[in-house]
Amino acid sequence: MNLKQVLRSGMRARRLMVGLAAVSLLAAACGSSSSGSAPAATAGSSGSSGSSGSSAANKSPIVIGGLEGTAAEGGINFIDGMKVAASVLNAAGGVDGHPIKLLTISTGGTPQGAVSAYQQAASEGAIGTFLGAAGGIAIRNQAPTTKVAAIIADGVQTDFAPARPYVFANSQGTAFASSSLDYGVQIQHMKSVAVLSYTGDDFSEQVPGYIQSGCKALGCKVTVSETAPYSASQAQLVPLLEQMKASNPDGYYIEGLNPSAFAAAKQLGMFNKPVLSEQYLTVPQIAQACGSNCDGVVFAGEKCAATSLLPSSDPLKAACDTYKQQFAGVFPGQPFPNFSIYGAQAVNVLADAAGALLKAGKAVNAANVNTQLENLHGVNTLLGVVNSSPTNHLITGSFQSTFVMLTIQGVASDGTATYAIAPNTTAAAGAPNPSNE
Amino acid sequence: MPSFTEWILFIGSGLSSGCVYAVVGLGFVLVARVTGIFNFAQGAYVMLGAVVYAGERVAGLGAVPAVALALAAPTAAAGVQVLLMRNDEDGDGGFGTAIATLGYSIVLEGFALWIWGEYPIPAPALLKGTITIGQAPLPTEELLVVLLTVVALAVIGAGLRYTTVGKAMQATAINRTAARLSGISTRRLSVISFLVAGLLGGMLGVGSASVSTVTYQAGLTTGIVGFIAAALGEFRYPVRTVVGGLALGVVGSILSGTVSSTYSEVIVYGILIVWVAGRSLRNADFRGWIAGVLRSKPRSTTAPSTASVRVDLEATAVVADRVGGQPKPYAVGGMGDSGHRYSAVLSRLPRAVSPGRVLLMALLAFGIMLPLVDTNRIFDQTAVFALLAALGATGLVLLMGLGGQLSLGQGMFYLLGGYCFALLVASHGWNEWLAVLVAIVVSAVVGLAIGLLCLRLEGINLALVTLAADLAAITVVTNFTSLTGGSLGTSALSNAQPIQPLAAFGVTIGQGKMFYYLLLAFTVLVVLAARNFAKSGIGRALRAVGSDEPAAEGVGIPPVRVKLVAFVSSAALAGIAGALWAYYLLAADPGQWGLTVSINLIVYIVVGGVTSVYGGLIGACVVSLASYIAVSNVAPGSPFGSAVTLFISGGLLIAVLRFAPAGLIDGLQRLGGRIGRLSPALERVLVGRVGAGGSVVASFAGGAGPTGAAPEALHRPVQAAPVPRPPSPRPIGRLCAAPIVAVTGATKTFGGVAALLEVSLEVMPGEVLALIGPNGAGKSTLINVASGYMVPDAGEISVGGRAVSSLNPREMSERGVVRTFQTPRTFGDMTALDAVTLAVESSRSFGVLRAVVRWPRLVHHERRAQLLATKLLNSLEIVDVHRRIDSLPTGQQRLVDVARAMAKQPACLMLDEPAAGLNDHETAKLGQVLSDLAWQGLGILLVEHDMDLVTAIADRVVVLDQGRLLTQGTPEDVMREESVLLAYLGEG
Repeated sequence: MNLKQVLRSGMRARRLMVGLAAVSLLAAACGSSSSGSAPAATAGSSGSSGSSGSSAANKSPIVIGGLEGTAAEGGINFIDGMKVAASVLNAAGGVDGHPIKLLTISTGGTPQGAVSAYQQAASEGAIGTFLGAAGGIAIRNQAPTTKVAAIIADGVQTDFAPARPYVFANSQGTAFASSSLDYGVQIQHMKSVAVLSYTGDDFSEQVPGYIQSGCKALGCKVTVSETAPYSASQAQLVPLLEQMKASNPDGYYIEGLNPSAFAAAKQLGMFNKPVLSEQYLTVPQIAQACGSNCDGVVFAGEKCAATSLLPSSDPLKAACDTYKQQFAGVFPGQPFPNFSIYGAQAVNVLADAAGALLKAGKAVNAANVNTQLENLHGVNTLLGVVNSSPTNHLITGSFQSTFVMLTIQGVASDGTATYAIAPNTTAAAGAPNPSNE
Repeated sequence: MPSFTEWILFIGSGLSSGCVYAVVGLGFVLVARVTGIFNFAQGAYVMLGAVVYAGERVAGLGAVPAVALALAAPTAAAGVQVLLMRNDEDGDGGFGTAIATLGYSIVLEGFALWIWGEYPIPAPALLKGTITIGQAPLPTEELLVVLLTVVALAVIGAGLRYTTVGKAMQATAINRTAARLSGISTRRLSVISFLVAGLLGGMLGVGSASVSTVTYQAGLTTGIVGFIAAALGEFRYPVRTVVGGLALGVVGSILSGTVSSTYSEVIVYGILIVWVAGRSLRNADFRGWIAGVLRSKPRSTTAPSTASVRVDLEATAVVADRVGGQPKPYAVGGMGDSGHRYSAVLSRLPRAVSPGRVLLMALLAFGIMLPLVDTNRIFDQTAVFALLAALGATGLVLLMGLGGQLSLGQGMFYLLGGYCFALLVASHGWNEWLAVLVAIVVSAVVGLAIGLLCLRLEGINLALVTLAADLAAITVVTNFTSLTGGSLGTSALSNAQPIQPLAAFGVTIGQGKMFYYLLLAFTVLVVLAARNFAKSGIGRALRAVGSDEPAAEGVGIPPVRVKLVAFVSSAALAGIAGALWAYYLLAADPGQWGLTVSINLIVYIVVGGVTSVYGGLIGACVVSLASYIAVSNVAPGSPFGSAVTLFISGGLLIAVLRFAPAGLIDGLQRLGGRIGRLSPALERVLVGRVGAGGSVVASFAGGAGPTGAAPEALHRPVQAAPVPRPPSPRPIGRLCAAPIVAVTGATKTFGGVAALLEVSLEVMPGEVLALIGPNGAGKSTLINVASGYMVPDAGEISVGGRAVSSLNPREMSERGVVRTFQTPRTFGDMTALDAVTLAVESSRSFGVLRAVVRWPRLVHHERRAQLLATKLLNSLEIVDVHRRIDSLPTGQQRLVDVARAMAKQPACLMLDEPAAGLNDHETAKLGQVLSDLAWQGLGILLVEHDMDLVTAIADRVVVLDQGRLLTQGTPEDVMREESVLLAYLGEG
């Protein structure tokens, strides 16, 4: 049978076309790298009943819930950090012989999924949870009734101020935005700023308000504040950025969630003035998508993102370098995802709380852990020295000690960014204290 | 005021965005023209092209092979899509096929998420740098996008006009059936159109990758706006579509730059809503429209002069029974039987245990047992959200499944209800139950407003408006921070207080088992109410409107009012679901009710069964369960795990629409039917009656009609012995001197061609007036004009002496003028009994609440109507009254149409070729019935080609030729006239 006869035959033609299509799609898929590749050695768990690491004692496990899902800017990286921390702890014998059992539960990236995952973790005996996904708002409403500590890294200020029962944050919230502003005003002598932020993202929506209040405190002026959907294209962002440019500010604050914004800013020649942002640019995938368009953007980044720039006297240098080595051991070949430190820190803080309870002879349960988390004093973590109280549920170090002003000087194709200390400041100086604290 | 440079920037950027919308719209138009399908995967093609190109470049592939692969991938995806779709030779894709394309879009999104992850992918530009136009720097890549758009439009335009394939496509777009009969392979053209659409998408994806945010989610927004662009081009005109797409991009860009970046989208959607609504309101008769909507009962049914000749329906049925001497084929009492004896007979028969019913009972039992079984919290909450979804999905079934109205914005009412509840309770301290009530009212009122604006529209317009409204609502809620808390939700408001648990009769209902049981009980009640609604007169009316709106109007149903009832009910149900959702999560935030909710609801009802009131519940449960099982068995954090729910939703949608288009319920019924064919006993048990064949989609409960299994006697076939024709026509008895219907000087032209030219005739009471003439003489046009389906260009129509030229068919039917159609318009997916019952009861008002609770008086009236309908049908020897009309032989379908018309108790009955397709016996029977009706005083206008029938029963004959009245007289006189012979046979 010749090709024409084959093609005339409906059934065969269909099989042929389906086959060709499948080959085509597979070729496209196989040639591409996944941005969320699975680790070579999984230190973490799978499903909702996993365990971490090895060489743990035969005592009852300390269960910690890791809630992951899409629409989390740190995404899987948060949970990777949890896996590293759990692995390290278990390799060292656990917490007083009690192994860390990491429950990784998918949230599906929805508020209701986050609530489900949180309550599932609670039902499986978790002493605390860490949320590395969207849904922090939904969880904090449930926490007072579910009564299991939820550490949230979504950067939403109202997660911890005012303090909410059983809700803790290890992410700084407004400080990200206002510290960059402080740098711009105090160090770069900006008197006015134009702002771009995004709708549809709970962190980003806070930015305009905090820039406004920060400017009020510092005596600067917001010339214009534009908002766009966080998936807006470069073309869609141009009119907004043009408005910002036309307002003739001394500098710009462009929220870092959408890399296209920097491309649009470059197109319009806006980099002749300071461009400020925040720590999203330490996410390898976002930096990779931004590429050279992000060169020169100034932002407050976690010290762990640029340990090579830190002085030896900085306690976080050694801690972060150690953590990076541990990460490379658990996930070899993966670019270091800076946001993973939030997950690692959450595990360490919870483990620390459990350890304190065991030392005091108290039961390691959710209620006691919650109380312990409200009374952390001088606890060293990857996010600085933690001091908490019943009225202060922010379990991270001071902004100045934990962050440093950085600028990007080139991004490799795998997302590895080269950072430098921002102009007119030093690594030792850290980041300015946020003006609206 | 923006500077010149800024205008250049706004317009340039707008053109770049607009070009993407334009080409997506072009893809929509191309596929819709050739296949009749709205291909919602069009946006996904662009996304796929962009992610493949960007992904391959990141992986190190060169530009040329990356581009080639990026073009091949969406083209291949489009090819697979069309091959997976049903080979629908009739070409009317319908909503089902459109929704299947939505499923395909979801699967492609899942594929992209699985392979390339959730983060934006950097895409190197094909053309680097910028060019400056009037000091405005524009990326060279954006000009590439504009160029590609121009090339695409030119190539497609030229292809359609100058190539053989293009001309074949145009022919197919005009008349698919005719094209097929001409030897054109419409299936091949469908494949080509999809492949071209895929290629277009890939092209734009590659071209725009470097200037857009390349993620797996990018296709949804692009597809929506492209869909809007195609709608602006009416899914037919490529140039208008491109202009529309460009306009959307440019207008949005200018608004962002000059008015408000926050609300620019809302303004664009608002413009769209106004444009779409304005088209329908342009020539609207506002007074008549509002009066029609608000009228609770029809007007007094007849003009005084015709009242005396309105036919007594029961007398008609009984007399029709007697005529012909046929034994009554069913054991029902005589006139006055209220149906109790009928019910008594049925109640002794075993009820059907259909697979669908078994599934429902199993789900209910499982639902009751669930909290008592040790399951995990995720499963428990999956069940809660499945029930919350089922509430809104059930409302959507009434609107879409019964009413045939596609709404893409049901999620908006969840959002309204949720925010109402949360704001009233958390911010203002209202009582929770009162807040729920307000949520229902607000959702219903907004539904009423949208319905009043849009339900006059046909086709895809309601979908457009509801989609735009949903998107606008999400934008407003997200940005109106001071009122709603913005993205952070109501709990972020400064005056927000914790939401307290509901309490009822001293019992606290938290968010645990009590809430679950409350929700379950409420869902069951809602589904039962929906079932009662569907079984009632208003349900029948809604189905009729969904099946054939003009025909429904001709039966006397006010279509806008009926659709409005469904739309408002659906909105209210979603509103209460939203309120309960907000209560469960203790706050409202926009992340809970994005566009995904609207899409998911459609997935649920399609999977469950869009024409069954249980479809929403079953679909929500099945899809939720499938997603739960899939996610539970995938490692959290794995790339596939992130995508699996998309694969489940999209895959189920595609599979169900491919293999069981009416959903799982109908699929199970069919399965039961197949198994039942093994033995009659099995068939009785599984299907409910013997000899059912096919599915009983329209009537799920009991599987065979509203009162349960029908007695076997009803299905005994009628003996086919021919009945001799009656002798020559009985003497004419004119009951009044005045005509019932008078047509005076009627003229109607179509594009310069006169279909009617100053034609006058009168239909007298008690007379059968036959209207004959060769094909194209204007007979059907005359009936259309006389019955209100067309307005004459000149001349007058009067009924009972009153001028009625401007009345619509419903108003004409209220005045006693009822007609049948040349092609039967009998609401094919209804049973014969339902269709005729509908006509019997259409003169009554439609009480929703009474229908929902099955008010005894209403039930009594319904049963009486069914009994009368049964008698009417039996009188025309249609005994299998519970069979779907579209499964009846053509001749019987025509008789159903006649019975439907008779059920309206007309004063004048206009029949358009009722004998076409009837055998001798049926024709004779029809003739007897019509003769007898005329004896009772009914005026009959009969258009026919069957001269034996005309000769047998007509009192007078009018002959039309080329739009003019040729002659009139008795049948014998007319048949002898040479001019008549010439008209039929032609000169020479």
